[in-house]
Parts: sequence; structure tokens; C-alpha cells
Amino acid sequence: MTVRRGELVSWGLQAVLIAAPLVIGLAVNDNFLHDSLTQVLLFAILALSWNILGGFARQVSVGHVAFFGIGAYTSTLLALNFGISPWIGMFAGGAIAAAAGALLGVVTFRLRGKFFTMATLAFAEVMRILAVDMRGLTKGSEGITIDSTPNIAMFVLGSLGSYVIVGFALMLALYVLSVLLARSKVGLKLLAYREEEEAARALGVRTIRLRLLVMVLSAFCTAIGGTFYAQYLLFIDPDSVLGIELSLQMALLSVVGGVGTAIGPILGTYLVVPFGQLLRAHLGSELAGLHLVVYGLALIFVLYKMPNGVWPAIEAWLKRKAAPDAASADAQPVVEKRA
Amino acid sequence: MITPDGRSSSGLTRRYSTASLLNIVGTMLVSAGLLFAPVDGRAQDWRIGALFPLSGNLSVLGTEALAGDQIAVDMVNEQGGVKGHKIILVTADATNPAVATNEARRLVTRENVKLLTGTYGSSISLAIAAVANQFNVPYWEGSAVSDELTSRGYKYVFRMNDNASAMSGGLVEAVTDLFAPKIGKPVKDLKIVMIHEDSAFGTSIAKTFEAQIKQKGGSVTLEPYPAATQDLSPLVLRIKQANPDVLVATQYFNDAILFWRQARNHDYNPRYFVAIGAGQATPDYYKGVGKDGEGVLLADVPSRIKPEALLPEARKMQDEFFKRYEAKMGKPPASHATRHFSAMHTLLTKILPAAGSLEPEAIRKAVLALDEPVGSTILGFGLKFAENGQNERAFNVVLQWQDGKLVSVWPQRFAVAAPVSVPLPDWNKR
Amino acid sequence: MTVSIGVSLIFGVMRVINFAHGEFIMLAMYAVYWAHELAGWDPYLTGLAVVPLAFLLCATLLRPFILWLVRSSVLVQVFATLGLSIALQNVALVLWKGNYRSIRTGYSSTLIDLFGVQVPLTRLVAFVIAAILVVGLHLFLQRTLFGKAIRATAQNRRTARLMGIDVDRVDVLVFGLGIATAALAGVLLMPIYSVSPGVGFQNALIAFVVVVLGGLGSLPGAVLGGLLIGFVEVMSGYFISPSMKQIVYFGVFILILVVRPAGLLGQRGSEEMGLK
Repeated sequence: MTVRRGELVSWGLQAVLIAAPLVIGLAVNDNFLHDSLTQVLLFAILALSWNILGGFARQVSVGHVAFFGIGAYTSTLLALNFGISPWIGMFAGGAIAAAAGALLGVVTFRLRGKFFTMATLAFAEVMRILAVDMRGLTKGSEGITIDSTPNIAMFVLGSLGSYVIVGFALMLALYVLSVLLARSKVGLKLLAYREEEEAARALGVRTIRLRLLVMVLSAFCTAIGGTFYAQYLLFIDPDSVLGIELSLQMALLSVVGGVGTAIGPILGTYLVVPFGQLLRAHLGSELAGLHLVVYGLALIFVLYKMPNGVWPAIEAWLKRKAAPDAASADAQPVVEKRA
Repeated sequence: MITPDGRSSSGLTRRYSTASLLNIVGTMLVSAGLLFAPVDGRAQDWRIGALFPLSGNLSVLGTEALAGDQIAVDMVNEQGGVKGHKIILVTADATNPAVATNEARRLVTRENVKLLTGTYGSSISLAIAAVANQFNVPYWEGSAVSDELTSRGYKYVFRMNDNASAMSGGLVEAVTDLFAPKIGKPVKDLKIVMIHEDSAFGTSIAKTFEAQIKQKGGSVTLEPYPAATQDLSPLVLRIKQANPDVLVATQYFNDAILFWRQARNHDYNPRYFVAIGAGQATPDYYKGVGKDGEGVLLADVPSRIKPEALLPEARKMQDEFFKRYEAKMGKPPASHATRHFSAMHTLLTKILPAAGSLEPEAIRKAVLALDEPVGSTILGFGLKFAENGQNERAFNVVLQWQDGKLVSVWPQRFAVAAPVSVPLPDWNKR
Repeated sequence: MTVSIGVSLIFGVMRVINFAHGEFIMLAMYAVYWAHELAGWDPYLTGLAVVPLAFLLCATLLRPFILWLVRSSVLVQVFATLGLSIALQNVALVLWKGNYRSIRTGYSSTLIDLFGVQVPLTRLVAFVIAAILVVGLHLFLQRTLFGKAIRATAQNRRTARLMGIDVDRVDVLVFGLGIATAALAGVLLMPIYSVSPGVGFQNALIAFVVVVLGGLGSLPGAVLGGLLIGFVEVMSGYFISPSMKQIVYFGVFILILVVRPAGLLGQRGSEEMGLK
């Protein structure tokens, strides 16, 4: 196999991965399957959005659920109070989330690494508490129910299959966005930034502006995911759309799949989400909690074996197959290590 | 290859990780196949789904509730099932609305389940109800509280237990019948403060209480707080400062104990206190606060009520249930476990036989046709369902901790003892 | 406050985010609970066994895990410890179910009159022991050779190694100390609060806030941070409302991060060394 061939295989594999949910969803007409697919696609969307900030810029945020919640609540409240279609509300939600992201970015511009992460955590928790407290606006802990009468104009799709299609479209869009971003000038700047910030700055990269841009973009996309969730589950409350577990899950998916790549989050989602569902289905009713023990241990195991994520491991394997001699020198991608 | 920190990694490691990756994927595909393959089961068995939060924060409550269900099913199966059909309870872990939705769908489409029951937690019950409605599968709710469940217009969603209005009704009764006379002021002049945890449970009850007390001419100040707080001193101090005539509470277990302990620490002595039987209703509560729990009043289902108030059959069932639950779980049942037992038992013995099948319309007809007086189920509920599926004869009574035991004290018809210590004495005098 | 000490140590010195820190507290609390329930042991006495045990556990069984963790990237650290946290929480759930459990000892309700203020004995004990711990650790870090080795490693690992310090050993021992402190926190907390599999997270969250507030790597800072947060909590809970108090201290947290990211008493610029 030549190097060229290796690349083709890589692209081919990616195409298969991306198309899979759509193909399966269209081929088999089964409610549970569609439901599972939709959830997988939703998470893929969130993982991809997170990756823009967390992967490309290596700013680990564990507060992304704040943007998710903002998106969900904005579009829902606009529809509930003003009758505005969530298709439009989606973008309004995105805009507000983007603004929040900008605010967060500005506030944290001096923070690096762990400090940034902590700040995002605090940010998300504040959002959740606000949602619970501002009962007049958000109906607090009781949550908001969305009318389930099918109405395409109001983004209430009758069949689950339709959600799979919409979800797929969103995921594809985000994937394309990620790829384009990686290849653009901005992408290059990001690469320089995350490898060695000082050097990038010395080269004239406006790092602050860059971070802000990425944060805003990431927030926007996550919020769109929030609206999709709201319209799919038809019920939102602070715990389900602003809980920290979701933040961690979003990030986890990208980390497992391969941070910084476009397909990584998608692959991570495919591996982790159904895995969690399977564990729950088979072990969930026996000894409560057992499935999560396995989940946690599995997570540690995967990170141990493939610290860069699964996709880079696959790519490395492909490269080795392609050029066994030349590959040995740089087959192992640079793992971020500390002395 | 030597990596920067001095360790060497050989190609063997990488081949290993690829192999393990393939292993993982392979296993997943196989399990996926198993997951997606439909289950058949014998035609005579009736498969009923039971969705409860079995992991996560609500796990204890979910597991206890499920135990209640399980015992009911066991008891009925021992008697030959429902019209000869053995009942199979298919359980699933529903920890949050998204998971609940997924699991509910799985049960209906993969596990051949024709009827769903559950659960603990209002947001979870709403999610399950939505799925049930979509598939035209009946959903029989046993303990979730939010009034929302029966106001969505779902045709086949039924709730046998006390909803938020019924629960706060119990609180109101304590205030108007037990407290107001002793305090000597009419309800409208009472200064009432309600502390409640701020999740859907506490909030929905706070809402209904506020509305109900308003109807009686009174008013209440609400003090919400997050249940998971480690320190309720600020709250205690605020209440102490406000010094209300009556303190009403809706708390979960941990915060109930914490609040009581910290009230003692800060020397705040609530004289007229009544709570919703969630946090204060379990034996562990008494264990946690000890003698300080003496005299605490709560509004809850009459879990152990005056035997004479129950019809003899119900009485027998109650004893049987308590016996079995103790054997199974090692402690007396908490009220939600009893609620679910009662709900499942009623479903299996009064509704399904009348319906003759698991068909939604048949079940709906059977449910609406029920008309049983108060005292006919082990919790003392009667059975009369409104069009929206809510059992109108579900209610709360007032219970009290006396000598380490929870007894019902009001209304008299259900009371096994008279209320004592109203108002509550100082902390050291208990 | 004791919790924050442990976190500060691990976090500040080793720059590792340990999500599972809370879970170790939880485990210690369970240990105390069961010792009390099954054998009638006094919680504090149990602590004499549990704390060294925790330390030993780290030094032996967990050693490879710790070493791997320290060498990994931030992302891996966060998620590996997260995985550990999930696993531990649910092991507790499987073994002991989700009930909240608390213990009552003869002195659970005893109040000590301190300058006219009623203070519960259990809290006083916790405070005193924590204070002793802080002072002790501070002296340890400043005066002893090993303490200096720890500080050196925190500042610059490569140089420390060049100077002959066995960095690996330092890592493991610091982690061990941190976990032992967590165990101690658990022992001190059990008489005051209740335990259930989920309590770890709440505690850890507050601890992180305190640590960053006070300044990483600075023990006096952690103390100050703890006191400040406690003060803010109580004040805002009383005057505004209990649900808002969390927002207030998160707000304060973010404010500090913006204005003085190193924390109140931390070294300036230490926040910049985040990834290095």
C-alpha cells in the first residue's frame, strides 16, 4: 500500500463512518433504532462543536453545556411565548450562546489550561442555577414541555426517521465546517497556537482574537445542538440541559475519538454512546450502577492504550501499513507529554 | 522508538492496541446484534415494563419503588397470574429523561412490552408518558407527583397515587386543622413560610400549596434551596429571623436531616412544623436525627393506618406486603415503595382482569369504570379516576414520629394515635 | 477546609486535576461508617487507621496509575480521573446502595460555648485538626528536605530531576499525601454530615474553588480561600437566598480568576504555567 492509498483508505473510512447513521436509518424502519441513532447523532453534533474549541484550540472546556442549555431554552421560550419557529429560534439561540461565549472568552482571556477549565465549570454551574432560580422566565425545575403535535414549521417532526435525517444533516455540516476550519488560515494559526503559544504570538498570530473566534463558533454550534435536543425530546429542564454530566460527556467523546481531528468526535461518539446504551441495557437492571463501573474502567483503559484518541491510532496503523519503513520514525503521533 | 520521556515503545504495543480496538468493536457489534434482536416470550405471559432510576442520585428511591412493584407481581403470580397469564416484569434503568425515553422505546419495540409502569421523578415520568402516548401503550404511574403528567391530554396515562395537589392538601390540612386552632389565629393571619428543595418535586408541591392556602385565605413565603447543599445554616438563620408562625417543608432525605440538625445548632425551635413525607418519612431519618425527630409531623400516605379504616382485604394485603418487603430489603417500606406496590397490585388485580387484555382501550374503560371507596387499597386510597387519568381518591394524611415510630394522627378516621407535642417543645426537652 | 488542603496539594504541586478526589473522601466516609456500624468504633479512632491506609494504598497499588497520570496530557488526566470517579462512585453504589447514611455518636449534638457562640463539637474538632494539618504541612514543605524537594519539583520538573531529585518518588508521595488528606477529610466529615455515593463530587467542587481562590501551591492561601468562601456562602445565603449563594461564590471565583488568576496568595504567573 502506498502512502497515497493509505490516505484514500482513511478518507474512505471517514466517509463510511459519517454516512452510516443515515444509511442504517433509512434502511431499517424501527423506532428504537431511530431513537438510538438520533441520540448518537445529537452527541456527535455536540462533540464536534466542543472539538472546535477543545480540540483545535486545545482549550479544555467542561462548561459547554451552558451553551447547549442556552440554545435549548432560547428556542423553546421564543416558540412558547412568541410563537417563533424553532428553526429560526435555533439561530437566535446560537447568537445568544455566541455572545455568552464571547463574554466568557473575554473574561478568561488570561487563563490557560486548568484554570480555564475551572472557569468554564463555574460558568456552566452558574447558568444552571440561574435557570432553576429564574422561575418566571424558565419555569425553573419543573421544566418546559413542548407540544408534541407534529408540525414541521415548528420543528416538531412526526416520525423519528425525520429526526435522524435532520440530525445527520447537522452533523455533516459540522464535520465539513471542521475540515474547512482545519485547512483554512485560521486552522493553521490554531495549529501554531496550540503547539506553542509563545512562538505563535511571536509570529504575529493574534491569539486573543483567535481564541475568541473559536469560542464563539464553538458556542454557536453547541447551541444549535441544544435546540435539536429540545425539539426531539420535547421536554427541557435545568438538570437535563444544563447538567455537568453533559459537559463532561461532550468533551469525553472527542477525547476518546481523537481530539483535534474532524472525524475524531464522530468516531468517539459512535464508540462511546452505543457502548453506554448497551451496558445499560444488559447490566443496568441487575446490580444498579454496575454498568457505570464498567464504563468508568473502560474509559481509563481506552485512555491508557490510546492517549491521543482512537482515530489517530487508526491513522497511525494505516500509515504503518502504507509505508512500513518510513513510518517507524514518525508513526506515533506526538503525544503531549510532560517531562 | 524512544519517546521524549525516555521510555521506549515497540511496534508490539501498537499492534496490541489495534487488536484490542478490533476486539472492542467486535464485541460491540455482537452485543448490538443481541440488543436489536427482538424478544419473543411465550404468548401466555404478559410483559409489563417497569422503568425506574436504578443508578445515579435517585437510585435508592428507584430501587425501593421497584421492589414494591416486584412484590406485587410475585404475589399475583403465585395466585396463578392474571386470568392465567403469568406476569413478567421487564425492568429498565431510567436515570434521566433522555435515557428514560430511549429505554421506554426499547422496551416497547424490542422487548415486546405492552404496558409501561414507573417511576420515580417527575421529569422521568413525563418522558416515559410521552413515549407511551406515541406508541399508544398504556402507562400506569405509581408515585410521580407533578400535575403536568395528567394535564397533557394523554389518553392512556393513568396515575393512581397522590399528585402534588393531594400532597400539599395534606399540608394544608395540618395547618388549618392542627395548627391554626392551637395558635389561636385564623388562617389568613398566619405567617407561613415554606422551605422546599428546588427540583421539580419541591417546586410543584410549593406551587400547589401556595394556591391551596390562598383559597383558604392565607398566604405563604417560599424559600427554595438546592437539595444538595452541604450547609443550610444561612437558611436556618433566615427562618429564625423571620420567625414564622408555621413552618412547612418539602425536603429530601439529606437536607431534611441537615436542616433539623442545624436548626438545633443555631437554637432555632420551630413550633409548628409539618413536612411532606419524602425526607422525613424513612426510618433512616429517625436514625439520623434521633430524639430530635420526636414529634415531627408529616403529610404522607397513611402507610400504617388505623386498621379499622381499611377494608379487611386491604388490611391483609398490607400485612403481607410489609412482611415480604422486610424480608426482601431488610427494613420497613418507605411510602413510595408502598405506593408502587399498591399501584401494581391494583393494576393486576382490579384493572387487568376487568380489561381482559393489554389493549389500551380496554384498559382505559376498566380504569374509568372503577369506583371503590376510600379504604379499599392498602394506602387507604379509594379508586375513582377522572377523565385525565388522575385518581381523585388519592390523598394524604398527617403522620407523626412518636417513640421512634411513624403513626398517623389526623384526620381522626385514619389516626392510630392522637397528635402530641403540638407545639413542639425546645430541643433539649424532647 | 481540610478537603481543600488535599486538593491544593495535589493540584497545586503536581498540577494534576484529580476528578476522583471527592470519591476518595466518600470512600473514607464509608469506611468510618461501617467501622462504626459493625464494630462500634469511634470515627476519629477509625481515622487513625484509615488515613495511613489511604497513603499506603497510593504508594503501592496505585503507584503505576499515578505515574502514568502525571505524564499524560491535561485531557487524559481530566478524563482518566473522571473515569475513576465514575467507577468508584458506582462501586460504592453497587456495594452499599444509594441510601444516605449518617452516624450518631454520643457527642454528635454537643455544643461547645466558644466566646458566647455555640459551636458543635464535631465541627470544632474538624477545624482544629485541619488547622494542625495546615500548619504541619506548611512546616514540612518549608523546613524539611523532602518538603523542599516537593516544591522544587512543582516549580520545574526537569531541573529538579537534574538536581538529583527522584521525581517519580516525589509524585507518588505527594499524591499519597493528597489522598491521605482526603481520607482525613472524610473521617472528619462523617460525624457532621451523611454519606452516599454521590457526596464526593459536591465536596470536590467546593474544594477546587477554594484552591484556585487561595492560590495554587500555597497552603495559607487554601486556608484563606476556605475562610473567605465560607464567609461569602453564609452571608449571601442569609441575605439573598440559599440558592443564590452558589452563584455568588462562583461569581467570586470567576472574578478572582479574571483579576488575579494566581489566586490571593499564589505566585504570580503560576496560572500561566498551566500546560507546561
